Amino acid sequence: MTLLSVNGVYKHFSGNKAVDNVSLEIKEGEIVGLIGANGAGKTTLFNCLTGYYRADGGSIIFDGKHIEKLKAHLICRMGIGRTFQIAKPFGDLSVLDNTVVGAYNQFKSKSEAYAEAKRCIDFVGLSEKSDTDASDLNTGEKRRLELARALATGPRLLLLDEVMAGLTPTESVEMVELIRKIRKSGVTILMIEHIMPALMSLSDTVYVLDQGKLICKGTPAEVSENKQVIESYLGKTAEA
Amino acid sequence: MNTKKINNVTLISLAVLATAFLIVADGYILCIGISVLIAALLGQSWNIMSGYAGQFSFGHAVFFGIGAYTSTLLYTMFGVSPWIGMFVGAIAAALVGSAIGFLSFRYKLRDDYFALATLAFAEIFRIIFNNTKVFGGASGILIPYVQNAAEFQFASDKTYFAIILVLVAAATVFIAFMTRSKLGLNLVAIKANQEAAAALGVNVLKYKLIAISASAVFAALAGTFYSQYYGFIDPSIVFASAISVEAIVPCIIGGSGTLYGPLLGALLIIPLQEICNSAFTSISGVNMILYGVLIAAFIIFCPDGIYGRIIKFANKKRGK
Repeated sequence: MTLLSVNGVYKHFSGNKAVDNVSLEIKEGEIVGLIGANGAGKTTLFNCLTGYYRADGGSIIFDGKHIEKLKAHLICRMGIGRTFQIAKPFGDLSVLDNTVVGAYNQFKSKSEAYAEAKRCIDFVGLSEKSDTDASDLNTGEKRRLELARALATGPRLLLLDEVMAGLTPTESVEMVELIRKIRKSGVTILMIEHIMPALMSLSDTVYVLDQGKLICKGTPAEVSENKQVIESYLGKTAEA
Repeated sequence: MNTKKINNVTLISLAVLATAFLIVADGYILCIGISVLIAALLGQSWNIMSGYAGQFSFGHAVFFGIGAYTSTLLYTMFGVSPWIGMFVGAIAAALVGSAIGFLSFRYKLRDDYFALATLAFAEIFRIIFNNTKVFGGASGILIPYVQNAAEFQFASDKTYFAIILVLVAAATVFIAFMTRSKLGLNLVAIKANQEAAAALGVNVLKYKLIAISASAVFAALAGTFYSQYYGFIDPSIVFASAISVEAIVPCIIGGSGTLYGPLLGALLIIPLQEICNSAFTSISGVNMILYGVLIAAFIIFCPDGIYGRIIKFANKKRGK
């Protein structure tokens, strides 16, 4: 079943076509990867999907409903969670309170919200840091906190914006496992990632963006052999 | 000690201090006590929207003035008791606060620009009231002296002290409950990062408006109290930027976004200001120089404020 369908979405910033007529489809239960060079428009597309920006045109249909005109908090309420490329923890709040903010998206009652927050913190393996102020966490822990918060909102679709960036190799391996676990729990995932091995091993389908345009779609194997992709993106990293 | 313990110790100390003061103090000292509590109430009001929710107001006088004028005009024009006028004023201020917030946030004013907008709104109100004859114009309104408790007038300053003490306590209790609720968490989240808050399902606009309205309510209560206590208001007093400053300073000094910071701040700066003013009788505005220096010093050397610093220090020690 199609969970998210994006049809001809574009977003221009004073003449710069950041997202140019992008269409993609995500089925329930999939992990979909989104790759592309810096400035290809990946994060802009995320921002359009999550109501951060309003798309200049095209439609975004989530679970059969148009969401392209909804504000960010309503899109969250519909069941789309996200993390940010640069983690944005609420520094003055503890890990638990950070996560509770998300849990209130699902639950009205305080006790239920706290129970759900605790469950999510446990799920990402951050229980020991529950009472720590978010500002005192290291990069890896901040990423986990972002995941815990996003999960606490009860998403059906989770948008991950470079959750592996800045992680140590060990932390990356753990993060891959965590993402698998999230999918297993029934959450569909759309992820932007630059760490190719991780992305290739996780994704069912990969989309490639180049200068705002979608240039390729396929399984990880298909995409990594695509000439255009190698030229515009993979080739560069291979040389480097 | 953790934050909770520090809060409890502070609460008990402040309660004892206030009770003892109420019994012992009279005359000039009692007046200063009342000034401290007015500043404390303004401070707690500012604390809600600016300290916790991070929406910096530089125009809290607008809410103070609306509170003062609503109850006073209702009383002098229609004979409505200021006890009732006080709540009408609070509601009026909340509505004006929502309107200011809606307009500002609708046009995506943030941070400094929002602060400037609040300053502008306070000035607009001052000028409107200055030029409206029915509202007493620039010469202000004298509240007829009847010394009747039903009209919010008392013979003894001790009664006034008790009333403003109750109002400060009410504001503090409100904040204490707020910080433990969804509202408080959402406000702090918005202050930290409103995009991240929205991504977690927080209706940022709604919560900002709640913060402004709640803040406006307490500033308006302070305004009504002020008019009843001093018996005279005019636009250049109640809509003055000096009032806006008096809402900010206790928070910056005492610790904005903390439960008791503004109370400690008010307790420190008002007596200091009195001392300065009596020491430099020939120079007016010494208190403003003092405020300026103190704000600059605290922002540079102690941005958490006194109470914020104490809590951070205690928590760090506990962590080790």
